[in-house]
Amino acid sequence: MFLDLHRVYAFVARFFREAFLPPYEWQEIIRQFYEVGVRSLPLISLTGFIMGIVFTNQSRPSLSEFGATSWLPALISVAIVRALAPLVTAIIAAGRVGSNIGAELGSMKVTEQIDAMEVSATNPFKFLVVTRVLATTLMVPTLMMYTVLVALLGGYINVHQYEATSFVTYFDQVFGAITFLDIYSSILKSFVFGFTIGMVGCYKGYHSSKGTEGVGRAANASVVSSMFLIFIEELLILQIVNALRPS
Amino acid sequence: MKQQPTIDWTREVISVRGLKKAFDAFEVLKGVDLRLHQGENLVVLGRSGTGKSVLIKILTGLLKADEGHIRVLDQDIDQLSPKAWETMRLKIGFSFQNSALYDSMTVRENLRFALVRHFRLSESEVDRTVEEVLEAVGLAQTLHQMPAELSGGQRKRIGIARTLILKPEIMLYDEPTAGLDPITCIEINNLINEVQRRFNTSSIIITHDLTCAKMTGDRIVMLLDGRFGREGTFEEVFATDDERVKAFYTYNFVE
Ligand SMILES: Nc1ncnc2c1ncn2[C@@H]1O[C@H](COP(=O)(O)OP(=O)(O)OP(=O)(O)O)[C@@H](O)[C@H]1O
Ligand SMILES: [Mg+2]
Repeated sequence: MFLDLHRVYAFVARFFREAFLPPYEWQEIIRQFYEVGVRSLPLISLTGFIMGIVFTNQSRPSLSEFGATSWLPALISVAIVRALAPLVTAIIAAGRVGSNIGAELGSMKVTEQIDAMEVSATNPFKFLVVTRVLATTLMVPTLMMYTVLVALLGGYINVHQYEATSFVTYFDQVFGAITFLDIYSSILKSFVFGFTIGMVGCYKGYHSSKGTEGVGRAANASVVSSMFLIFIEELLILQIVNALRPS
Repeated sequence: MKQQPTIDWTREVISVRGLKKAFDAFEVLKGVDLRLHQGENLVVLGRSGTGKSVLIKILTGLLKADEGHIRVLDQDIDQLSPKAWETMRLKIGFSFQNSALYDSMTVRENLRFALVRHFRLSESEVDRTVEEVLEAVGLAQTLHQMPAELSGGQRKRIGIARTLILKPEIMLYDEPTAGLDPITCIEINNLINEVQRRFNTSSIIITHDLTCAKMTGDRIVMLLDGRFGREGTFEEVFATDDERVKAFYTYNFVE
């Protein structure tokens, strides 16, 4: 998976070189934003909402043992903002968007469409890779914030049902429990996840080898490798944030 | 069969000497020499897997040669800067073996793609140019269709139109007639000749279709065992006792 590190490095370096140089492919960038952002909304809404309900429901017994169910909103808030929302959003994006990018670029590669762009002196990297990586990098954090919102709503529905907590009290406790560091680090984390998803999908697609089999492999490898990297990154960022957190 | 083209035999637009290319231990091209003259249709014949596609991919910089000297339009291609490559590629049209149309775009978007990225043209100028080349390949009615909705022959023509739109000086056709019925083949051959005449291009046509070779080629070379074995007009190339060449001819017309 990481056998050709120098090729990966060159690919990432090329992204940074070309992302900031004109001309910009605005139309394609906007199309990709729509593709990654808007088209992920139904799945994210459903997953986030259910996650909120289920997590709340499953956490209740352990808190009620200590007679501490009034702590539920704070617990939900910390868990969702710090850990669940960024991870779940990233994993959904890796599954939906990452595989899509891997398959799309993979099939363009094996049917020589990428070569065709190259020989017509247009820059396929700029048109295909830069636009997609920008879209995932910016849309995954946006989707993550949206996930936080729907998951908290799911939590509220459950808390309201069992503890009859009011909307205002619930959100008072929710916001009381988290700090700006929590929010910043989750957003930062999501940038990293989004960048990873786009980069891995593009890399696997762009370098997929001959045949339809290669396309399937590229799609598959996009998901597997990006999920793997996402968890590693999660661990690393956790260490950094813990070091920064005032004890 | 074909109108006499105007060829400048004193000017070489492509000259290749001693070109070698191997994939790992597998030697595909073992010292190829090739000249393409201004205005000429040069046919490269060869069996499957002899490295015909590899040869033209090297000419467009998609693959790198291991050894050899290649000049295209008076420039050494292994010394070109990225910027110079860009200029060079605008002058070379490449029609892919499998057409390689952008399948998420309509025909119109396929044709516009490179045009709007290289030339500052108004919308109406772009549309007019697109219509012109579509007209030239006889497919004006397909403007808003997707590649998946086209037949193999139509895809080939759109592929050719997509390269013609940049007004190339050199055209490279990779098996323009492969997989098409005989009548469509002849239509494509006529199109190749018309492009030569109308746009004054010099072309390399890669094929193993002898009808195509005969109809379009002003000169024919045959790739045998990683080198060019025979060279000349169609009749000259096949006037030989070399079994490999004769077999090519015989099997082409066998039932
Ligand atoms: N990128 C590559 N990596 C490894 N081997 C390759 C590559 N491209 C081509 N080859 C090998 O080089 C040889 C020549 O391939 P090429 O595509 O040029 O054949 P061809 O003459 O165009 O055949 P056809 O008439 O079937 O198109 C083949 O044996 C192929 O396996
Ligand atoms: Mg070929």
